[in-house]
Amino acid sequence: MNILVFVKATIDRNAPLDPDEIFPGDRDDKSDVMTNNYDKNAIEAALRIIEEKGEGKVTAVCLGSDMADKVVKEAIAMGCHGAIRIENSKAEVTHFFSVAKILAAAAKKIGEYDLLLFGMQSYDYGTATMAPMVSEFLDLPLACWVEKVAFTNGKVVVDKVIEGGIRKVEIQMPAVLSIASSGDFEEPRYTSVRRIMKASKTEVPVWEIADLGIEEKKPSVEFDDIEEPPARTEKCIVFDDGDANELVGELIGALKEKGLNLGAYK
Amino acid sequence: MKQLTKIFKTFNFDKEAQEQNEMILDMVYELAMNEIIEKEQDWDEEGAHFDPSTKKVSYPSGMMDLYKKCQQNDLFSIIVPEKYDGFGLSYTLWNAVIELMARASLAFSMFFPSQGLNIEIINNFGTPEAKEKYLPLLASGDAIGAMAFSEPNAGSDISAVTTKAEKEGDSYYLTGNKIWLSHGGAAGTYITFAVTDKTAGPKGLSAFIVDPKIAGSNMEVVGIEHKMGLHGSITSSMSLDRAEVPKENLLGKENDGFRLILGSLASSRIGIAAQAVGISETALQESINYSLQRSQFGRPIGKHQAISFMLADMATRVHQSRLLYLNTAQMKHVGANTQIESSMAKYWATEMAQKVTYDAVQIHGGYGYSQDYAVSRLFRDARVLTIYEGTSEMQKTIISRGALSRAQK
Repeated sequence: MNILVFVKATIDRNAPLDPDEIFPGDRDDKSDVMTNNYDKNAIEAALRIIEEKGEGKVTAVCLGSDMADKVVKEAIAMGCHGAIRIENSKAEVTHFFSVAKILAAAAKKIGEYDLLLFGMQSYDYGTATMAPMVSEFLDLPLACWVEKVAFTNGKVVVDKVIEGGIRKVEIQMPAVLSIASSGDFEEPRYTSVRRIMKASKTEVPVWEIADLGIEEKKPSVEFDDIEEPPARTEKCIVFDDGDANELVGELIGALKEKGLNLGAYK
Repeated sequence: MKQLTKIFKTFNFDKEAQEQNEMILDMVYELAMNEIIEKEQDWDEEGAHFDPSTKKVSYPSGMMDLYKKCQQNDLFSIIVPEKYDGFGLSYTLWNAVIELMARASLAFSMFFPSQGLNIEIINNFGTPEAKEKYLPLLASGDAIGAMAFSEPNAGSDISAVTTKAEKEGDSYYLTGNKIWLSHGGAAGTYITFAVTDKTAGPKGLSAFIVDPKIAGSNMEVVGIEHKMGLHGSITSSMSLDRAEVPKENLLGKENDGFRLILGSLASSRIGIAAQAVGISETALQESINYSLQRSQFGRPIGKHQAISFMLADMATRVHQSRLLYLNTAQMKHVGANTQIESSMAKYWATEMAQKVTYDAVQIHGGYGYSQDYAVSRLFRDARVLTIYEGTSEMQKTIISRGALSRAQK
């Protein structure tokens, strides 16, 4: 069983916000970068599948600048057998469509795989589009928000989250799965000192986008500008002093004063 | 966290070691801040347990689950030599791990300094058999390391111990009472010392590893202390009644125990300084958060100079003590004798923690005195820091003696 897990470097949520430095490649301090936390659920799923099967290999794939080295090393320190980084030094490719094309091309170049796993979305943009797009480009079956995985007769059976429930789907392999942050893989494992020591000694090959044979090089969409929203000037009014029934009346009165449409509460 | 990694960059670790350090600190930070810190309040309320009928002790609910995670992540093996299933990494890293653990819970961080001291003493002074047997157990965390020094009449004056060790055949038999044992009753190794020559004073003391599996029922917990803070940590009194210690568990030479133990304590004192920095960092962060939330006189209290200057002082004190303990740990890592510097770090950082946790309560005002707010617990927990592993006064004695002897040279 060969599994590819796609991981993304994102800006650490604790790092200071800067509209001019929205991509990990823009930063010069590695401690500002972290692994997209949803991707850790995908790594956990891959490792659990291999452990239960008793055989196989998990390779982490990441598109990013050298700031993302930390992310691929963390994937190995969690237990992945190897990793590949695709150089994106000046964050030149940022649009989701282009990124998906590159990841699909990388999977093709790797060649042997049974499952392609993604986190259910990214922590920064949260578009949740990567798994569906890659599955289209590679013409592979897809299941999103997968909470549970089993295997039968060479097929993968997944529990995927749908509105109000779970749907069981049997899919031909190779397949693309996006792993939910709930269910069986909710708690990704930590790295360990032993695996960190191994990761720091593991060479991670760096591929160039140019070597992946993709026609479209220029991003189809570019970020024009990103700016901080204006500071809010509204004041917060708290109704917490007195009888609850009276407070509700006061609250509705205040909302009416603001001209809010209260529907039935007229 | 950034403060820590920034300081680490000033030490001359090579690129690979630097990367390892950062990844390990990231992992510990995540474990401490995502899982351990949220349990701390419950552990404080529940406290450690002792059952007088079975003489068994236990940690508060859920603490051992997190201890197991530390085991799975190989945290206890950091400073153990590779030969004994460890990784032979630096004391600098080890102490930074202690700081991060103490940020989440001082009670939980108690697993670390004594483990480190057990590892160091056994590695330096243990017989080949003892190293082979105990270092892998301490590295995996399957054995918790404890120290059994204090006795009812031997506190700061630890040479006044009366526990005696009688040699018969291939074993020593220890008889006496030990108090203030962190992890007493739960540990897998106890480092202690006892009188082997009662005519020779401090030069008649020998150090041993007591293995509770060998000592059996001849070593038992008498009770546990009900402390002002650190409720989640077990602090026991134990009695030894002809508890057997095989001769392979003698540390160093017979009658050389006092010098050996005293020389080793410098090492764990760095860890106590790291604990002090950890708990103070949390007191500081709690205070910053609160002072931005809480408004009085029309603006957040953190914007009033009275509070902002307190925060500035707290942040500077924490930073200063962090430099002090990390630098001392780094000195030790490169092989320097840090007897004096360890005492300085321990004395300075633990006194600093009193002031910082005190100010944290002050900034929180009435709420700071409520048990619903973390700072009241931090204030109680921090109080022990200037007492255990040698009081501030003992540290000053060591420092001043060192300064005087340097002056004479």
